[in-house]
Amino acid sequence: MNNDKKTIGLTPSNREVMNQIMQKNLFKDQIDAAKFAMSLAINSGIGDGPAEGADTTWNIGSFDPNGELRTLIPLLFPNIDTPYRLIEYLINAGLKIIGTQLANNKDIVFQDIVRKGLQPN
Amino acid sequence: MLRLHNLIMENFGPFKNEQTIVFPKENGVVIVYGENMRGKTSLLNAIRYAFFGKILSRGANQISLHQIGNWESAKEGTYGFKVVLSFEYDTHKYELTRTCYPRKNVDIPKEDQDYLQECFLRRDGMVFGPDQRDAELAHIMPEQVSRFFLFDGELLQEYEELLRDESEMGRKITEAIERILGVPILTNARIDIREQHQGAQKRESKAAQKNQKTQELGNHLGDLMEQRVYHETETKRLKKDIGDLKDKKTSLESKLRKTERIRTLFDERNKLDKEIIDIDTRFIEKKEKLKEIMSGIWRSMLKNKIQAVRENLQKQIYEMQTNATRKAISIEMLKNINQAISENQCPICLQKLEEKTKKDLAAKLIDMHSSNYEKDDSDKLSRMQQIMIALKDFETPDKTELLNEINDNIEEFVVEKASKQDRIMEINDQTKDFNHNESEIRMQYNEHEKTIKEITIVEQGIRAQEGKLKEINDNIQGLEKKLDLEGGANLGNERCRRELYGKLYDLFNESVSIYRERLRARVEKDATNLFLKLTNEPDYIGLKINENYGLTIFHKDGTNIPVRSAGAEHMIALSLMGALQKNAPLQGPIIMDSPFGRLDEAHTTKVVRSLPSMADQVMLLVFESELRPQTARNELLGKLRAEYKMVRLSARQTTLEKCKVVN
Repeated sequence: MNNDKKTIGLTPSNREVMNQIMQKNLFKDQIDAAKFAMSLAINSGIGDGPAEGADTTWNIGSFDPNGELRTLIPLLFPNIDTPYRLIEYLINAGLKIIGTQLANNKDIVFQDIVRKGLQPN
Repeated sequence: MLRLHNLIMENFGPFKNEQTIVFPKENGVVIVYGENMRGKTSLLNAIRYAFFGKILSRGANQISLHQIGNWESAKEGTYGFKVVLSFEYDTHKYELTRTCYPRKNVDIPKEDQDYLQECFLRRDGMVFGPDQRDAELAHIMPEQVSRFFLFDGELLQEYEELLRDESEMGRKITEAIERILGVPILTNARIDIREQHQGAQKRESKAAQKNQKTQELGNHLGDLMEQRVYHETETKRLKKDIGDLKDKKTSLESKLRKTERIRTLFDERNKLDKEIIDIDTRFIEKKEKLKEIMSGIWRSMLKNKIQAVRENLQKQIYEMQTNATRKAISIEMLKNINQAISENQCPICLQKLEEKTKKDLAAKLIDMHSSNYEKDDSDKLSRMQQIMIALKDFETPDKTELLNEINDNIEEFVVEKASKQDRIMEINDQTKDFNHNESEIRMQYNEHEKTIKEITIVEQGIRAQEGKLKEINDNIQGLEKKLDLEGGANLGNERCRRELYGKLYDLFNESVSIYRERLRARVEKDATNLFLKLTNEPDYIGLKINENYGLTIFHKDGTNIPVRSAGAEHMIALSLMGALQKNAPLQGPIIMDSPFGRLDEAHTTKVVRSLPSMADQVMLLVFESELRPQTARNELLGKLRAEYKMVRLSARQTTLEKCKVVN
């Protein structure tokens, strides 16, 4: 895990999606929204990959203060030894999914995305 | 007996220039036909203006003078209007002229203050002075009884108020009825005699004060009489106050009735505003709750994934644990076999081993050593169990239901708020012309409540004063009795005068009651006769009168009809009008504006047939679908003396055309 990331960031386009999400006033902060996007990506079957162009948004200390994600991600993805890198990728992938849905329908009820995310997969 | 001769209107309402209605000399009915907005109410108002200088709307409120002048004349630069009414009263011929014209320095009048009014009354060619004129007009047609001569059909339902004891409108109508029936002649005489009686009491007390023997009684009586004057003055003041307060209350109620719908809308809007604030508060609370749930929702979303990993791990752990058990058994078996071979005896059953058996066991031992039982998985198992525990930490209660519920709540709030906001917009639209009046309307409402409270307080004051007056009068009577015993002959004349006025007062007091009773009986009888002619209902056998001259329909089974239709209400009101005309010392023409609006054709026909018996002169202002001309002609025959038609020349100009009456 020595090669793992110390910070997590969003791509410029996903930063815009994040702003749109925050305007819906559903999450207390962007970290909650980012974790939601990560879960959405995991449930959508997204695998590993690089989050290209992601800048620095959060330090992993503030993003995962208890290290629970560092524990969980290797359990869900046993072959991964850089969990934060994967988390960054998954967050951006999840935001891309949400961004696509918002682009298709600006008036989409965000709760529908949430409900969809909660459905058994 | 008042009898109209003709009415000339000049630039009054829709009547441009000079237009005249001539009332035929013979007794009977004149009908003026006019569709809506042609000027029927204006014609009634022209007569009202001539007599009283007032113009009323259909809601019985005064209309501004500035609005009455003909609009087309005003456009051409001629402002103001004039009404000339010629009539006959007690063999004298009168001409009453009332003019409203702009003040000299006003070129274009804009409000009532820009006008001056003049009124002239000629009797047999002689012009009255202003005071004489007013007194003469008040005698010929007192304004208080005008409702029985000039009336709007739409206001006939007001007479139902006579059935409600607490009604202020009912009290005013009762007063007007008693006035037209001449009751004030007796009640005023009673007041005069009472004053004479009190004057005699005072003189007697003064005479008593001059006599040494009766001085003390006289002084006491004098004090009591002074107190009585004070309390009577106070009672009078309070009664005037209560009259003013009740008038104020009635006026406020009339205003409130007009703005009731608007006030209800304002109240509804305020209620909606409060409800929206409440929704917003609950909305924010739910949003906060939602954010709290959303904060951990990512765990719930991964629940299935974590569950799958856990199940897989569980399976692996089970397999590893099974292997470990097998391994333990194998080790035990190895140990037993080794012991059996070395000791040549089974360690379990202690039997000796045969050579062949020993060989078989040695072969088995080789097999067992060659299998993988020796491999140690305990570290892996322990790691897996730790992972299971770690995954257990990610177990989270399913918040899906709660989330759905909160989302549903939030959506409901949004819909509810939008619906309330829509309603507020509707209300705003409906009240857009009244918004600046909201505070005024609320002030009227508060003023009304305040007035009701004041009335209660003043009523209590009157009761207290009347109680005090009774006590004083009882004391005066007691002292007068003593004075009768002790006074002697020198007080005889004063005593006689006082006793005479006292008895006269009692006589008039009783007369007023008896006269009222008789009047009520006569009005009841005449109203019943007229009502039975008007109604189509054979089960109704008459009308019953109450203390306030309110009339109730009486059924043949001996019961009263408690609820009646608007049409029945009009027939009862018309029956009362007819009965009052018949019993009143003051008689005159009846002018009715749209009296048949609530009646069906059969009842209209009957009312029309009865009109000539209600008054010598009757003028109807109707529209043709309310009373078909042929029906009127058939029913009235020779009693139909003239027909006029209001013909539209433009939206703001009507001309009166006299029709030829063909029966």
